[in-house]
Amino acid sequence: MTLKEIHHTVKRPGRTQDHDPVEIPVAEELATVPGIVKKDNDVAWYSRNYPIVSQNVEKAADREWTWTVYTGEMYEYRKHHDEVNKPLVEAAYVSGNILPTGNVEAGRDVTEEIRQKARDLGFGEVGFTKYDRKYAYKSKKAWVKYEHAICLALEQDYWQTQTIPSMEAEFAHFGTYEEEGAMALDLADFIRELGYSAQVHSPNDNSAAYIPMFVEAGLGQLGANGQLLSPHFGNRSRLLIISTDAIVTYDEPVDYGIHKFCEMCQVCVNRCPGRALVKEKVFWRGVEKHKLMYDRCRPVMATYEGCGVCMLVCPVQRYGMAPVMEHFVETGEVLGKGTDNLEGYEIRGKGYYGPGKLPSFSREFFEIPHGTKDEWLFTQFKQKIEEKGKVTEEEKQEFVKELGEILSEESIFDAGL
Amino acid sequence: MTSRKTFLKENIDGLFGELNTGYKGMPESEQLHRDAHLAIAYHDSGRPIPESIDPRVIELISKYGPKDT
Repeated sequence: MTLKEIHHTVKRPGRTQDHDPVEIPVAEELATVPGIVKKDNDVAWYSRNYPIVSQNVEKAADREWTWTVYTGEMYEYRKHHDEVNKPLVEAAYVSGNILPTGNVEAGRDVTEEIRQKARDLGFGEVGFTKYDRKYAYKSKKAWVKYEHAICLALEQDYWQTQTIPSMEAEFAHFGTYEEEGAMALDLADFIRELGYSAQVHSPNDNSAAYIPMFVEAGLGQLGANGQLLSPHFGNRSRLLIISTDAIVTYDEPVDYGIHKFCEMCQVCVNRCPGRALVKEKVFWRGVEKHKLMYDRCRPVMATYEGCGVCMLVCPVQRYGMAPVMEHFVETGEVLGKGTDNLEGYEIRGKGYYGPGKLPSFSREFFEIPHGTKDEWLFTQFKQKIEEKGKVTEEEKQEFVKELGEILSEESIFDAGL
Repeated sequence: MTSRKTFLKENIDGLFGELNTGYKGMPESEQLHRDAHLAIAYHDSGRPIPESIDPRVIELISKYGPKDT
């Protein structure tokens, strides 16, 4: 006898090709809408008037600052990752210009061939939808060449991820990017063999906010932690897109019950070390979501090996969506909530924090640079004038020199490689 | 939540310590870790542990689980 009425059941392919398909029961009280609640007119208006600026660009000052708070090991590992990853980002950037190598069979839909190839390569989730330019970054709008998006998620190692926050988890995090960057280039080659063009949108030099397209392709829903919660690995995956002109059929968005579930669960919100996640949803650029407070997140993330506690403590990540939703239907409870097994974590140098316990940080800990690098330079210069009433000729020259250096930094990649 | 005793940090460390000692680097290690987390969650919620969970994990749950006495 179950406690909750089932509204509908979602059927999805297995986690890998060796696993059986799964059925996810969605309780009556968790059902909302397939995909996400949004106001299309608002999404379009913001896109036209305030196109999204990549975090790599908009937050360049604090991205540079993160290198100053890394541990020695983290610093060396990030340098190594950037070196390994650079050729993958560069290859992705020009991939849309490569001509097809095969001949098109006129009118033949190749959706399932591409899906199968992607699964063979190891992608855990594969979906098809329109490449929605409303979510494209301002710097990339003109770069995107093809109208269809193939949404691809690669699962991050299970065991390593459960050690968050740690170097071990960072090896999984960045290692997954390196792996999928190479896999995507292989999949693009396959699409060209079918006679079509393919453009790889690197997961490290993103062309857009990818999650809305993954939701539209039915691969999951947006969680309270701001991450895609997909059926098998929740938020424990890394996302990328390939756009193409191939003949494909779009998938449909799905209601997995995540919107209401997250409102009730709130484990990530309650466990966030920086108190960066918020309980209530807001409409942000036309989409209803839990909007995180960046300035509360970034310092913890940078200082403590990428943090990722919001990923760690998500029950869908830890146990999979089917057991979590089945448990809710059976008991009306969130599997693992309130237990050390789900909610406990250790912060380097601070100790262990079980349910109900959070680390504390000084006010100064959250003071980080803001905006682009030139904006931050201006801010500091203005502060100096305000504090001292004037600046010396030497300080003026130093300011102009630094500004010149920043403005002459040129890269075609938002990733700043 | 039930009033049942749940796995505390020392229980969890003991279980995963033995799991890592016995199976780290082996092909079944990852599935055993997934099973162990799920089994602890079921144990903590007071629900029976499903038959799909590896028997080696069920043994460890008995060995390291909090005692009700």
